[in-house]
Amino acid sequence: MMAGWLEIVGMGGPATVQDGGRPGQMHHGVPPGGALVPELLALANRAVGNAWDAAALECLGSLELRARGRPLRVSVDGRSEQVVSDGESLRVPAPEHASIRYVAVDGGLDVQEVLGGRGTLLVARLGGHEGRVLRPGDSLPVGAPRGPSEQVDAEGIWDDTAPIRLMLGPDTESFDALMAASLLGSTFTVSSASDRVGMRLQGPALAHGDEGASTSRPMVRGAIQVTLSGEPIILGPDHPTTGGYPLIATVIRADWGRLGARRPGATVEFHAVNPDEAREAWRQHLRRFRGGARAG
Amino acid sequence: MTECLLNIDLGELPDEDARLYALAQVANIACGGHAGDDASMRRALELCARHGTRVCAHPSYEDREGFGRRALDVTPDVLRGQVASQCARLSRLAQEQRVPVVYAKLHGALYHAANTSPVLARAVVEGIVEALGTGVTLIAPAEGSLRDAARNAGLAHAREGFADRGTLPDGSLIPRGQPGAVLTEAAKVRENTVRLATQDTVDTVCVHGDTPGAVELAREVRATLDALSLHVEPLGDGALRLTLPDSLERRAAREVLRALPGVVDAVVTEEHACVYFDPSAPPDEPRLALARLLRETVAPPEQTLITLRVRYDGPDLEKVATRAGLSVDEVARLHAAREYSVRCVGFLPGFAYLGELDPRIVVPRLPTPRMRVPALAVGIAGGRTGVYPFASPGGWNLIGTALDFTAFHPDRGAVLQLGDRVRFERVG
Repeated sequence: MMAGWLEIVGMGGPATVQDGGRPGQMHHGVPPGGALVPELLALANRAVGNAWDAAALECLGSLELRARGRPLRVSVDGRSEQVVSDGESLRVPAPEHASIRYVAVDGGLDVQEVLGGRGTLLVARLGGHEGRVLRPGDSLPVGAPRGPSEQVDAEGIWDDTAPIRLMLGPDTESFDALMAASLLGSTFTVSSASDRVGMRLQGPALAHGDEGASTSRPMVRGAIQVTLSGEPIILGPDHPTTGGYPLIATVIRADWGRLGARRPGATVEFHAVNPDEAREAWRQHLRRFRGGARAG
Repeated sequence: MTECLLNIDLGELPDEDARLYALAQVANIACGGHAGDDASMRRALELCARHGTRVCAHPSYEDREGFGRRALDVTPDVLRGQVASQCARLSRLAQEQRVPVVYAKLHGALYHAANTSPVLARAVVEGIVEALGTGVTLIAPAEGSLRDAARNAGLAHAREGFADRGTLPDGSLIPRGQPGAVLTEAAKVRENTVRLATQDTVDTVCVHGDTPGAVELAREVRATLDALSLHVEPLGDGALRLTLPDSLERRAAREVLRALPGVVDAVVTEEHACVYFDPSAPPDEPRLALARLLRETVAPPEQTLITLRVRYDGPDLEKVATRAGLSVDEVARLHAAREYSVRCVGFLPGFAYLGELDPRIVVPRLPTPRMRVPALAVGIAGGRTGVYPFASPGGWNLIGTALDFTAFHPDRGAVLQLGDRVRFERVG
């Protein structure tokens, strides 16, 4: 079979190449990356027979794509694959419900692997296609098709209004009990100043007395850091690996995608869980979205 | 989990290794019953004072010949008197040296006999109180007559386990003289210590000073207990954050943690280490991996010296100079005059936190971070300096620009590694 290419013909919003991430590089200051909504990436990839974490397009707006070299099987957010013949084009509408959408092609986007991942890390201009946001005219290599498509029911995969689960801490000493109550009892709104680095929330200020004078500490995706002005920022896949703001709580891994899917203006409420509940939620997540396979 | 302390039976042997006093957190000093005399007690107290080791009176049946390991038929009243006089003897010498006696623990056969006899237990506790008052903590088995007698007398009780003694399936000690009674193998002792310390059933763990290889075993137990006493807290469901002691070699700590089965990555910052893992498969107690580093002085790895050429032309240079009451030239001179070491790698790919800055040019972070700091800008904040590897937002005061420096290679990662030495060379 001839080598395939996916050509970007037109764009209604920014799009980058993203995959399951590049874990294990944080000691170099390289964040784990990975899809903002791993669930949708997994559904799209499995619908075209790829491993759940193959590289695909992560896009905020509409796209016009063209198949080159061979017919491409394409899935948008896990919907039934469409076959786009060599030279034909496909229009993908902007995300309707979630903040973001994934376009997977059979074989996956075969861009060069950098430090164990193919995703784009914009701040360091590495990975993806030339380390940058895609532009019309870009042509992305596509790998060899892997296997049969796997239909995973993508309808109602989650409730958009359900609370986001978190574990309180670890920097509890920086916040009084009222602040934890405020975090758990308030409704926040996703700010438009949100991206893959972090999601800013609007709502009641979560005051703390921490001057940020302490040295930088290790960070993790999902950590809720609170700035001096009391604004919560939830770290995203491309978060700084260390930081000085205190962490009031950390969103559990099973809910990273559910949170990332909320678009600016959407509301967010939180619910605290214990480590056992978090672990069980993650097991369910793995069974549902990765076909029971352990995370890579 | 509260800290579990290492107690060691000491002051018993003429050729005792003084290093045991540095390893012990509580020294059980023989006070003439089964061993010890004024000279040995003075030496032991002096070593405790030197190492900050807490002093424990260690009375016994009066049986030097049998080393206090034979059960003797002594009436409770006589026993009370023996215990009181032994404790008082140590207490008198301790007062001379101004070291408080804060614990008491019975030795050998008496420890076991009193724990199964309420009458004997009451007698020995009365003896202890007579000599030392009710401010001492009685080290005794978690359950039994000694615990009850201590409670009744108003003494605090520290539950004890034995790191170097084998246990029967029911948890009781294998009697001395039987196979497996005394453990001399480091791995077995370590395993025993972990079991005792992590089940939260004991407050203190004992190593006998006369067990063969006692120093090595004590070192093993102490390192294990020190590792398990490190503060650890979850950072969500897929990471654990450990607070590191200052003495721990940072690069070695990162490598040891990263090599643990189930650990996907390990990040070391100035005060913490963080291990990352799949929430469905968390690693075994990561703190134990640090025990080896706590036990041995780890030589820091060979430290590379990297020289970075800097043009001191940053937009905040004048503000920094004004704030420091120095000329711009002086700020540049002081910044380039020192050798720094990499304290942490993080924030951005290849960003290294370098310290310590000369205190004369220490300034706080900008009140509002810049939206865009150009790549290779040299910044300072607090006692740290660093070079921005990429254009990014940033809150440090910019004093210069690094020339011909690549902080990060996509194929190899960060150029500056924990512990590397860095100098700035002023150009232009």
